[in-house]
Formats: sequence, structure tokens, C-alpha cells
Amino acid sequence: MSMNLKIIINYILTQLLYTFMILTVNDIHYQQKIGERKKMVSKATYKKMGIFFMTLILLLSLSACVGKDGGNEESSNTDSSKSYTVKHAMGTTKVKSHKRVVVLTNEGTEAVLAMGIKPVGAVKSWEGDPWYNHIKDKMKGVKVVGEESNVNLEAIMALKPDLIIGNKMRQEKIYGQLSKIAPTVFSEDLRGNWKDNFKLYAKALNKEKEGQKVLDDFDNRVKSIKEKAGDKLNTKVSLVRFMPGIARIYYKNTFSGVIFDQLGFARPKVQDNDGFADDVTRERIPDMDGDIMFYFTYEPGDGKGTKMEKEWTNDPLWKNLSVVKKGNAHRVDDAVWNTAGGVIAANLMLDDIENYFHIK
Amino acid sequence: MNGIIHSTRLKIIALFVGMLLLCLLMALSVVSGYTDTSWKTAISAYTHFDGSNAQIIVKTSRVPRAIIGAVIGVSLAISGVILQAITRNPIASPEFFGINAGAGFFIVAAVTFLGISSLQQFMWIGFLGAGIAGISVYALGSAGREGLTPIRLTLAGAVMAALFASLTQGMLVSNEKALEEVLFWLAGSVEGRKLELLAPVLPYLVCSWIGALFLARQLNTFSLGEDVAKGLGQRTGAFKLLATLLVILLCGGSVAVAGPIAFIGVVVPHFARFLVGSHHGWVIPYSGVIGGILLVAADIAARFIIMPDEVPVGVMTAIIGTPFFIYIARKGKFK
Amino acid sequence: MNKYWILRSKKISFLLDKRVFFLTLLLCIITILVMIVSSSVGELHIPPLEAAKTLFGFGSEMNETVIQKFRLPRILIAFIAGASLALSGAILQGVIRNPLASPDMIGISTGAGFAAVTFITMFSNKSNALTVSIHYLPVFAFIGATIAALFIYFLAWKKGVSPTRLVLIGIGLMAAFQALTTLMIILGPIYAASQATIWLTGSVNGVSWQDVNGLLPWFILSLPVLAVLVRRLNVQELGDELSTGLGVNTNRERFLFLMICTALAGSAVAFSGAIGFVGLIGPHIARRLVGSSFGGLLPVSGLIGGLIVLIADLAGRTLFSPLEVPAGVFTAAVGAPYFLYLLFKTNG
Repeated sequence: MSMNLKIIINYILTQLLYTFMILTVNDIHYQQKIGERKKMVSKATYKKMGIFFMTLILLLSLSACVGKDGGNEESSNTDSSKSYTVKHAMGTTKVKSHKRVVVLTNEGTEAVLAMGIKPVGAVKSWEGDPWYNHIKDKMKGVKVVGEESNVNLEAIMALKPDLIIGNKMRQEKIYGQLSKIAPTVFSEDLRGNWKDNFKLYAKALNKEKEGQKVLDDFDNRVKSIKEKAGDKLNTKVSLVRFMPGIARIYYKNTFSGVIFDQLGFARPKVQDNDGFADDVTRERIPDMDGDIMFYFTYEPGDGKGTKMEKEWTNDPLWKNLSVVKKGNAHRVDDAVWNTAGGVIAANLMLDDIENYFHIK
Repeated sequence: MNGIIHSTRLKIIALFVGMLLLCLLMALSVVSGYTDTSWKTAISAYTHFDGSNAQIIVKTSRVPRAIIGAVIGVSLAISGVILQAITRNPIASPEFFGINAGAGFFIVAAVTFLGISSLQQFMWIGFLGAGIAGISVYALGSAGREGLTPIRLTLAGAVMAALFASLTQGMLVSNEKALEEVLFWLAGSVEGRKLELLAPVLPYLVCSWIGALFLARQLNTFSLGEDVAKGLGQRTGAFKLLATLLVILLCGGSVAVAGPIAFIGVVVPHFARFLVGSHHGWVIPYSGVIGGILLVAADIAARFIIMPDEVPVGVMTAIIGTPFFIYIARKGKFK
Repeated sequence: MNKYWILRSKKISFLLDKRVFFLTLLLCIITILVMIVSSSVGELHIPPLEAAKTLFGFGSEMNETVIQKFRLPRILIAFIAGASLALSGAILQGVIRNPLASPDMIGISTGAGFAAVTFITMFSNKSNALTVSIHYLPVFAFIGATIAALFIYFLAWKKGVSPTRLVLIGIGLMAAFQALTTLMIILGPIYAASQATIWLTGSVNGVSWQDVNGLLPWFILSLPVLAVLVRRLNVQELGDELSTGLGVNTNRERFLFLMICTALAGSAVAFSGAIGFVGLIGPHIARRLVGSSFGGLLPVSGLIGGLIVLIADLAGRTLFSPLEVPAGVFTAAVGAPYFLYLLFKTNG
């Protein structure tokens, strides 16, 4: 209610302001009617009008900024004894329960699943209809609530969630509305390192212990692979991705890049870069060389990604790569190696690595 | 109107100098880029091919883009000359006729809906799109009493371009990731285009160049005004049809190979007229050479601006072309 | 029978065209009906009567949240943005004296687009997160639109601004801005690119009251200004010689009108993204209905423009639910056949 009141007051004030200004315009109009007939509007009035519009623009720009975050007020009924608070990208939020969770990112969905909770709603997976193959079974009966970058608020509302997990980079604009539906927790950004967000999601679900166990299990796996791999860690790993019309070399701050870095694998010199990725032209195919290469293709469903992959893997420069000549270029699943970006995919990726490097 | 070069001999010499410059730029285009290549590698790629990366790059990437850039530049510039003559409109050009956007739209649509990937089909769809867009704009612009004034043409072209752009966008709304690709494609580029793409189109383009030269005299007559041309015994109907056909072949072919590349068609003919006056026998070859030079030069620049990434050459020509275009628009006496 | 009603008071008198009056009334009623329908359908279906009740504050709490927090701001933004664009198109068509002109052509949308992309690229930190609130984006986009319009006016100035030169330079700069936007997207971080493209597509999904707060003042402000200036617009359309002969300082008024256009279209684009074709079709349909005198044309254009976007958004959020389709796609879907129709009609 207080929100509505604020809006009303705001309106009345702006209205008053504008009526006042409109009156000045009318004044000009009259002046000109009474005054000079030939020159309909004098120079001075134009100057006046100019000043008037300038002030107006200033005022309006200000009014657009004022009264910004109405959304940060939290629901005030805090009687539940089990409630807990979570600090996140948009402030602090009190969560009462997490029986009905809606997840608005792909990686978040995996995190929630890994902690043994099945969300009631989630955004559509980037690939798959509507879910990735590797989570399809676990997601049976979960409602689609739009796409990660274009969320359907009403679909979320209809599910009557008691917790919403989203991401500031993707959904900052609608945080206010989301928090009206249910307590909402946002992670800051989406990066190669999924663990930071995972820890936050664990807190949001009040399952820090379970979350820590999932992370520990993963770290232990990484450690054991690292030990068993031994000399194989000197193998220089090259990562390449094809998308419709785009070919990329993936550096270290990517999902797969982070995992290889954690395992301690070497990267080819050009790819030993802390950045994200580069869109490359054909001339840079030689930069894709390494001792072993993994390439994955984002396929939106119309065959364009695969077409791009086919074109490039038939390029004479590609065939000239020593890694290709030795038969060490492997095509892997794009969802697992990059797009899904969550804890389940990370574990599946470790499976793949064990296979390709013959680590038992 | 007279250009700054008066004597015929000078005009011939200057034309050869221009051609030489074009060849030099093409050679420069072959040896410059992300991978270090020297003149020697370039030559040995054809004489002693040893399969090294540098040689492969020269052969499969650099040489094709130099040739394609030159051919497309020549074609777009000549199509601009013809369009400006038959509409008697200083800003007529493929992009303002919505021809680029139309051909682009039809190609994207064909790829998306019909799954077309054969180069031959690509080309025909490009021609079809160019034709439909051009004729639509002409019809939309010349309806009403005033006929095809520059402003009507511009607005009609902009409307068609906006229409095709939003249709293309609407088509891609279901998978927004693909948008990035189309964004790049719609900007026009000669990077990564293969010679096989050019080969089926080349005969049509070259025939159109020669055809345009043969039409030069007719173009001179026609630019005096349609009534005058009729009075002088020109069969204006047949002439217009032929000229339109040439434009469609030139633009449709160019778009099918490189995507829409803006501003070459509108700016270059003005520059050529500035040099050699308004006789089309000179304007056409000059425009062709200048168009080629401009596009090849823009393509070289596109590689160095944000090394190691590349800017699509269509973006480069737009940025280079806008100031010239504004100059033309300000200079023209539009009422 | 008189076509007009004459209203007189001591200071002011004006003619009211009956046809325009009834048509405006009818359109208002349709608009309100569509708004009620629009607030009742969606992922959660609320019966129209219930929706109307909720609108006036007598509904259940859940319905109230859905309608007042989600649907109402969206409906208002859609309507106001559509109306602003159509009004701006109508004015521009008068100033440029050509029915094919639209606000996109004086660089407003592309200017705003360039500013928005620059904003996203400039304020992204190393891990691709925005360092400032995304709610500043509309402000930035609006400033971009204004600067673009001023720039175009400035470049087209040569002892006055002729409509032709204005359009030519507008379209030339539009291409340049598009090129720069592409350049910015390529230069910027890869994540920013996808964010920018979403913005450029233009959608009213997820707008809040705060956005309405930002957009509404511009609209409300320009209405009375337009009411006062409408006679001048009629004079503008007569052409430079005639209007100068009638004692109008054509260039100054043209500038004034362009600034109003920019304010209207710029604010609309800033909050709803580049919704195409409304600025073109709205005035066209209106002209069909009430003729080309601006007294009737402006209100009717505005209402029709608002209705178009309202319906487009309604379609966009219901047809493919739960996936959202930007309203701009549907306005293009309406715009395309209409233009083909126009093409055939003028030919035949």
C-alpha cells in the first residue's frame, strides 16, 4: 500500500510541476497573440522557451533517477522461527522456507539439483527441449518460466514460489518485481568459476553443509585425478568452440578453462591467457594447436552451429594442425563442457577427462 | 559538368594509375594481417607450395578476400552510377534502394526456412531479393504526383530497409543466439569468403561491367531527362529495363557473396564525377576502379583496428563513407 | 447540419470536429477495453470483471500483485510508448511533408541504441557485471537519442534546414550509428553483446512503476504543448515558401517540432527499446480516418499508436507463453502487410 501511496504522491507532484510549466507556455502563446502580428514569436520568447526546455530536460532526467529502488524493502512478516538471512548481490534477504524454489539461471538449476532439491520452476536450458540431456531425468515435471534473459514474471507468480534464485547480470531490471513474488537471492555475475555462485545458492537454500559436501567431493575428485595423472598434466590442452557464424578459442576464465586450470593441466602458449575467449578468424586456426584439443559446438537447433563446425574442420589450416594430424582433436558435448556451467556438468566433464586421458 | 581532369590523354593515364594502385593494394592485402607473411611466401605459395600455414593462409584466405573485395567494390560502385543516372538522383544507390537489405533478408530467410546451402541457389536468391526490393522501392517512391524525388526515394528505401530488417529480426526471435551471427553477416564482410562463392557470380558481374560500359552513351542521353531522351530517339522503356537488370545482377551478386556493404555505391560515383566530369564513358570505369580501391583499403584497415579481432568491412565503409555522404547531402540543392 | 461544434468562452473559442470527437471517444473506449482484457489474460487468467475490480483496488491480494505490479506498468508503458511514437511520427510527417517519414529516420532509435550499447560496454567490469544500476540505462539512451537528433539538425543546417537535407543526413547518420553499434558490440566483452542485443530488440517485459514514472511526464508534458502548437503544424505542412509568407519563422518552428519529436520518441525508445513501424503506421491509419488536418490527426494517431503496441504486447506475452516475444516483432508483422498493401494500392 505504501508503494501505491508513494506513486500517487509522486504523480500529484509531477502533475503540479507540469501544469505550472504548461501555464508558462500558454503565457507565451498569449503574448504572441496580443503582440507582434508579423513576427509571430519574438526572439526573446524563443530564448525563454529554450531555457524552459533545458530546465525541463534536467528536471525530467532527475525525476527518472529519483525514487529508484522501491524493490529493496523486504516482506516484514518475520515471525517464522526457521527464517534465515542471506547476503547477496542486491542486498540482504530474509528467507522463510525453500520448499518451492524457482531458479532463473542454467548453472543455478544444476546447483539446486545437486543439493537434492527439485525446483518447481526453472528457465529453459540453452540447448535441449526444454532441458539439457544430462539433467532431463531429474527435471521431469518442472515448469519452464521463460528464458534466462527473458523471464516470464507471471509464470513464476503462478507457481507461488517461496524462494527465487537469479542472477544480477541477467535479471537486475526485474529484481523489484521478483522480490514482490517471493524472497529473491541474486548472484553477482556469471563466470567460468561456478563455485562462488554455488556457495551463495547453498546459503540461500540453508544447505551450507550439503553444499560444502558437494564441493568437497568435487575437490577430492580433482585432487585424485591430479595425483593419478602425473606426467599427463604437461599435456597442452587446447579448447575451441564453434557457434553459428563464430569460432572461438577459449581461455582460462571459462567453465572448462577453470577446471583444467584446477587440475593443473598446461595450455598452449597463446591460450595461457586469463581472459574469457576470443572470436577468431581463419587466420588464427594455427593458434588452436596443442597436444590435445577438445572442441564443442553450440547448436541452437537449426544446423548452423554444425555447419560452422564442418566448414572449419575441413579447412586446410585445421587439417594442418599437428594435434589434428595426430588424431588428438576430440569433439565433446557443448552442454557439459561449456553451456550448462553447473556442478553436475563439472562432474560429467571430469568423467570425460578421465576417459580421454586414460586416468583410472 | 566538367571534372578536374580535362584532357583525354590525362584521363587514360590516370585510369591506369588507378588500376595500378588497385593492384598494389590487393598485393598489400595479401601480405598483411594477423599471421606474418612476406612477399616471398605469397609468391612461393603458388610456385613452391609446401603446405606451411603461412602459405595456406595466403592461398585460402588472403588472396580470396583481396579478389572478392576488389570485385565487389567495382560492382557496387558501377551499380551506384547506373542507379543515379536512371533515377537522376544524386543519392540513389543500392543501400538507399533497400536492395542490400532485401537481398540480405531473402538469403537469411532461405537459409533459415529452406535450409539452402548450395552456392548456386544462394546467388539466385540474392538476385531475386535484390529485384523485389528494388522494384518495391521504386514503386513506393514514385507513386503519387511528384514522382521519384530524392526525398521520396530515400524515405521509401529507408522504409523497405526497416521492413526487411525487422522481418529478419522477427525470424530469428526464437533463437537469439543466432542473432549475433546475423548481426555480423548483415554488416557485410569479405573475411572467410571463399573463391568458390565468387566463381558462379563472377561471369554475371563481369558481363554487367561490360554491359554498363556499352550503355554509357545511352546513360548520357537518359540523364538529360526522359522526355529529352525520347525526343532524341531513345527507346527509353527497353533501356530502363536493361539498366535495371544490370543493377539487380550487380547488387544481388555482391550481396550474395559479401553481404550488404554500404556507402560504396553512393559515394564513389560522386568522387568519379568530381575527377572526370559527367560523361558516363569515363565515370563508369573510374567509379569501378575507385570502388575497388576503397573496399580493398577498407578491408585492410578492418584487420588492424582492433587486432587480433576484425571489424566487418561493412562497418568500416560506413564509418569512412558517412562524412562524404553528409558532404554530398549538404552540397546538393534539394528543394 | 454543421460538421463542427463551436465552443466559446470569453478568451478562447475553438471549433470541434464532430467526427473527430466521436472517433476519439470511441478509440478511448476501445483502449480501455483492451487494457482491461490485457490485464485479465496472461499466464494467470483473471476474469475481466475481476480484473476491472482489481484495477480499482477491490481484488484479492494475489490478483492485485499480478495486475498492479506486473501487468499495469507494462500496459501503461506499451500504450504510452506506442502513442508517443505515433505522435512523433505524425509531427515528423508534417514537418518533412512526406507520409513515409518516421522517428527512426532522424536517428532517434539508432542514437539511443548506440548509447545503450556504449553504456553496457563502458560500465561492465572485468567479470562482466555492470558497475552501476541498470536503471540508468533509459537515461543514457534518452540522452543518446537527443544528442543524435541535435547532431543531425546541426549537420543539416545550411542557412536553414530543408526537410530533404534533414532526411538524407538523418538516414546517413543512422547507418553510421548502426556501424558504430556493431563496432561497440564487437569491441565489448562477449557477455555484453547478448545483453545489448536483447535491449536492441525492444520489449516491455519486466518494466516497473519506476519506468512509468520516467516515461509518463514526457508524454503528459508534450500533450498541451502540442495542443497549443497544432495550428502551426498545419502551416508547416504547406511548404517553406507559403509558411514563410504567412509570417512563420519556419526554421525555428521546425526545430521546436523536432525537439518535441525527440522528446516523445526518445523517451519511448529509452524505456521500451526500438519498437518499429508504429511511428509510420499510426499516423497513416489516422489520416485514413480523420483526414490530414492536425487538429484531429494528432489525438487519433496517438490513440491508434498506443493501441497497436498494446495489442502487440498482449500477443507477445500470450501466444508463445511461457516464452516472451518482444512487442516489436508483432508491430513489424502488422507493418509488413500494411506496407505491401500500400504498395499495391498506389500501383493500381
